[in-house]
Amino acid sequence: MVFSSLVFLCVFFPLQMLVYTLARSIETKNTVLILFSLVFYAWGEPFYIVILLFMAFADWLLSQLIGKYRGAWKSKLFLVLGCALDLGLLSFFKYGVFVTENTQRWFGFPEIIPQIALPIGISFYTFQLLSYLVDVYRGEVPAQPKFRRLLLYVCLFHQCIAGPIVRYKDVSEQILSRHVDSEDLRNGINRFASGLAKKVLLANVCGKLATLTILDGLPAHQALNLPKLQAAPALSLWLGCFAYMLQIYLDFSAYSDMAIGMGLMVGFRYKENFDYPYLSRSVTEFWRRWHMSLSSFFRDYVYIPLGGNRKGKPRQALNLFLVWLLTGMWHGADWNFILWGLYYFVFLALEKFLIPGLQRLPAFFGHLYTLLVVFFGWILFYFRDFTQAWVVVKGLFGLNGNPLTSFEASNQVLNYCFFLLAAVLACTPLIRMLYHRVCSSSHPVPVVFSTVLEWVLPVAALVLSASFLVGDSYDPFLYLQF
Amino acid sequence: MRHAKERRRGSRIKAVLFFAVLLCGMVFSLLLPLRPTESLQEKRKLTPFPEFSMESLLSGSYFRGIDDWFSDTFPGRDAFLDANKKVLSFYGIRSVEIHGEVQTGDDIPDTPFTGK
Repeated sequence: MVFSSLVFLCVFFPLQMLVYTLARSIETKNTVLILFSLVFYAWGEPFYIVILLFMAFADWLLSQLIGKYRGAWKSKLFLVLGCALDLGLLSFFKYGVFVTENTQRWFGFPEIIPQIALPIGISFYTFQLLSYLVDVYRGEVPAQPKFRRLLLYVCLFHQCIAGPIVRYKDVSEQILSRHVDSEDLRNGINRFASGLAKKVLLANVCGKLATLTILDGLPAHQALNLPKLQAAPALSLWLGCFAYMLQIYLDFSAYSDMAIGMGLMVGFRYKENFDYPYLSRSVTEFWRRWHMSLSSFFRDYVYIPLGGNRKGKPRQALNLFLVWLLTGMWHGADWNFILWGLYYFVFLALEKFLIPGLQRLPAFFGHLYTLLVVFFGWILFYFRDFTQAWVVVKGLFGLNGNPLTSFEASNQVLNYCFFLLAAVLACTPLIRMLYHRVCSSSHPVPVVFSTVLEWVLPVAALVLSASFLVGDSYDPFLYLQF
Repeated sequence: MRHAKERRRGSRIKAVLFFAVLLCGMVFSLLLPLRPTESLQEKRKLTPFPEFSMESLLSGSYFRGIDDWFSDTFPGRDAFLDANKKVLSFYGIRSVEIHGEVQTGDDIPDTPFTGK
């Protein structure tokens, strides 16, 4: 199940909130959340839910031992066992096919590639469990004595399949003690509604535009796609790549918004995952604003344990390299993702070691430089097939012998011009700032106006989103490779 | 103090309104007799409720089928689709909308057709 489906909006979510509100004690409320979360997960992954349950239970057992023997060598042993189990399962399911495909290509072995399916959300919940194990080992949190409370943390549908990657220590106290006041409810509803609208009204349409113009980037469709990509006018390719750049931010941040919003409605406070990354003035700043829960995970559990920047520049560069190799790999089991991670390593190393001035460019140049780096980075991310990616990059500058524009391409831009403007605005805090300015004014007219807006906008978001989702089978779920 | 109380009351109304709409939506969407089985606009039979089998259950296609059925046969579907089209019409300047591919037509002949 996904947040932007009618089954979720019309049945699952209202029912969950209803039953949750009727439940009296915190333990009953938690049980409600667990049951609904398991249904949510099983809806999309009826068979592989056992992997989630197994991993959670195994880690729970191991965490008891880690906590019991803390200070002794056994504690580390159980931590290593837990990490090996989690990473082993993740590697098997996520990279099994990739590894065997490549060994077959290079060494001719094995003959048959096993068709290993990727359980939904495994990258997210594995990392959450890893953070739990390490934090218990480090003594930052006590091991959770009751399995069902750890299970709640792992499988909670808010963040289980599409993040943010929530650290156990950030929510451990909230598991047993949550309070929802009217301000939380108000913010939760606003976050959820704006996230839903962002996903359905903006991101999905961007996705359609991208698929229409730059096709699907899959190697399997290379023969079909290449002629069309080669002939496509430059304007069409720019539109497509730009639409994808918008889609991936709007979609991903919308999911985090909805997760944070739903969390607030039941008293959970999750940390922010995005901070308007397209406003960044350097690549370093971009990664401090994009998918913050992932970059902080790698910082706290890989970069800093490896020594960070405290062991000299060459070691720092190596640590950065490893972190970005892993970041690329986390995003997908294919060479283009690994290269995408290393692409960012190059720019980050450039900014950190070789040309530190890049981080202090004047605003206009900083924005332009960052957006260009990010723009081409997403092209690398989108195309699983390098041939198609290269054709598109050349085509952007008319180097395929393709025209710069065409009647259809310019007409398409016209057809979506206001929408594109709205999508770009949604990447900035302008709308939110305007809304806050209107809402916090004490002048009577804006107060009435803002109150009406406060009441009407979330409902409008629900109804409009429903209208877009009815009869529409096109609802991309970008996180299927996670 | 009064401002804060008014804000709290406003937030309460907001929450009540939001969840009331959600619950009404739930009831509305579950009124099975209201669900259409075919679309006159699109001239096709709409997605039927999926057949149950252990295989379809375990592979996930049963639930995916329910998702498709649920959104395809939503009550008042045509009204929603009309609203959707209306909203999309604001997305840009749509004086010209192209459906399908643009092809170059034949040249206009400069001599009259003589049947040969």
